[in-house]
Amino acid sequence: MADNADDSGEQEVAEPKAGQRLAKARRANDISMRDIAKELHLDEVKVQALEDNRFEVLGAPVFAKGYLRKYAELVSVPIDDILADYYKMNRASGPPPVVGPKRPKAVTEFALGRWIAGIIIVIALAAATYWFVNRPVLVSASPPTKPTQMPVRQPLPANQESAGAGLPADNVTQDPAADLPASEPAIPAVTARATEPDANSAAVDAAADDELQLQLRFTGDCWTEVTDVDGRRLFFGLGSDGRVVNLSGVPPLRLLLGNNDNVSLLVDGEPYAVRPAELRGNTARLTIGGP
Amino acid sequence: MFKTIMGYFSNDLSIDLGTANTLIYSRGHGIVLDEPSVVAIQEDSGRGGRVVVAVGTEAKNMLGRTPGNITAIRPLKDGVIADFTVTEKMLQHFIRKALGTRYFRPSPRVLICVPYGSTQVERRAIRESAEGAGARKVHLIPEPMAAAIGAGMPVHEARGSMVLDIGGGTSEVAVISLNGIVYAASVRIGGDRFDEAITNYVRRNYGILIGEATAERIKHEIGSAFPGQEVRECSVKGRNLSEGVPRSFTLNSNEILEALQEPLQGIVGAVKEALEQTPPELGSDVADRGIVLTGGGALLRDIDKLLMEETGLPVVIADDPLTCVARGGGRVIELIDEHGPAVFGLE
Repeated sequence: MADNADDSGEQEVAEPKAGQRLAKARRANDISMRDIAKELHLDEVKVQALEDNRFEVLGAPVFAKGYLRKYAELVSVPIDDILADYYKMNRASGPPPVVGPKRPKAVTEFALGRWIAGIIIVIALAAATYWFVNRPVLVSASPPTKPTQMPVRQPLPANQESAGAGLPADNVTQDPAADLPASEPAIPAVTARATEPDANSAAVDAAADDELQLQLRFTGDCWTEVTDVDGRRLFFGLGSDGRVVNLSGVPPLRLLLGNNDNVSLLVDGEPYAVRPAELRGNTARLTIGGP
Repeated sequence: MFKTIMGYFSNDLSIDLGTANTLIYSRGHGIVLDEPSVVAIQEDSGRGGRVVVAVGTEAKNMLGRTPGNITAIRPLKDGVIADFTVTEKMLQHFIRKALGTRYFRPSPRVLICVPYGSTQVERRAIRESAEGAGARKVHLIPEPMAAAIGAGMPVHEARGSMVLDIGGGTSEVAVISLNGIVYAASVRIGGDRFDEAITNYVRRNYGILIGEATAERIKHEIGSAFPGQEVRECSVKGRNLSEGVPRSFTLNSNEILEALQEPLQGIVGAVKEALEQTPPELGSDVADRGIVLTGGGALLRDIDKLLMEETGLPVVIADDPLTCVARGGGRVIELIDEHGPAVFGLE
């Protein structure tokens, strides 16, 4: 026990003391404290404080370290050793607080702003993903219009039904097969031209030879627009599952199919395959017939 | 909005945009970049524009050694922007390098240390240059204030603290108390002027032309601001002006001391002027504690002795004086969140 006390006492004596080492070197070099004070442009009181390791007298650490360096240089003591002693003695003392003691609050380790920003980004990514998965199948450049009234499905006395409002009535027909009783034979889709007893009927018949027969068979919802060579709308509306639309028009016919997967085309009775170049996602823009 | 969100993921940067070197301190990482403020530019005759070939250390190695179509230039002169476009490119390069990440590069908030004597136009040029380089928000702080904070001076106390920051293009002297600058002055004398003085001395006395890089090497090796007991020598090669061929000769530290007299007296004059203009109470505080030297110029041998002899005041050199300004800026940027930019009168 007593040995331990002696050991600790020896350790305390052996602890580095920058000031004492400087004072010892000064005496060994036969330099007076007055001379050191004159060289450093300091008061003797401050030089004494340096030798007594009372660095708080000198102000901020920058001053104490600066004076120690110069003092060590004057008495030819390694500067690094003196500074190492200083750092051991003043390990806890950091730089001055810069903005004074009246700090309103300590810096929190938990940076709330980063978490908020992270949450916002996650929400934005989730919303974008949701939109991408459930994005509307129709991409139409036309301005929003009142939904086109679809042709009223009702049994017709003849094998035709008139087209809905806003559509050219003279060249749009619906396949009435779906509306007819099952016992009745399926009536083939026929292009029905309005049988107007006018003088132009002959001319219309002549033009019919040049016209292209187009059948749209829907297997699901698909927004569809069809225009003829003059830009007249032959069809403009949402096709639904099971619906068959027969159209005729002077080529070239321009088609916009909002969801190409849900419609199949027959041109003059022949299946028509949409080319990949005409596709943009599920939306197809194509021209049929013409030069 | 996007920049703001990205900013939460970014490290704030403090930039010491110096005439000789640019240092960047990253919050939480310390000094992450220390490179010369030099850009090598190639004239692109095909497109009629200029292309940046190299920036920083790589460009500095090209100084005075470039072919006709490449020019190695310093885009800053006397602490302020001399070539706006090139400075912007240089800052862009340095910020990218400091942030490190290649694909996810958020916009940092940047604090730039500017010379106290810079005009509003010069400050605006620096601010716009940083914004053009991708900074989210730019704060400006006077260099002497950043230097004092970086040196660990008690700037918050109601006591005068004098700092002298000797940079590459300017030397700034300031008396600071209560987080504000009481008096400050900036003289356009710095390390570059020292190099220039050495070049002129060698040409005048030896008839030999030496380059910028050689002059800087002489300054580092045997440069001195005060006569010492030891005389050091340095072997130098340059072009003899009369013969036109390279010649080797030897310079000693006393000659360099003589060469540096003019710029050194300019700095000493600025310090004396500051002491004259400082209010008496603060002047006595300075006399009691002393002057702190920062900046690369503080590394000139015995410059503290010169100032002590000339002013009669104690003079100390800060720890790691080259990085004081950048480190001080770093501490300020940490305090902006707590106290707002008004704490040091930041712009």
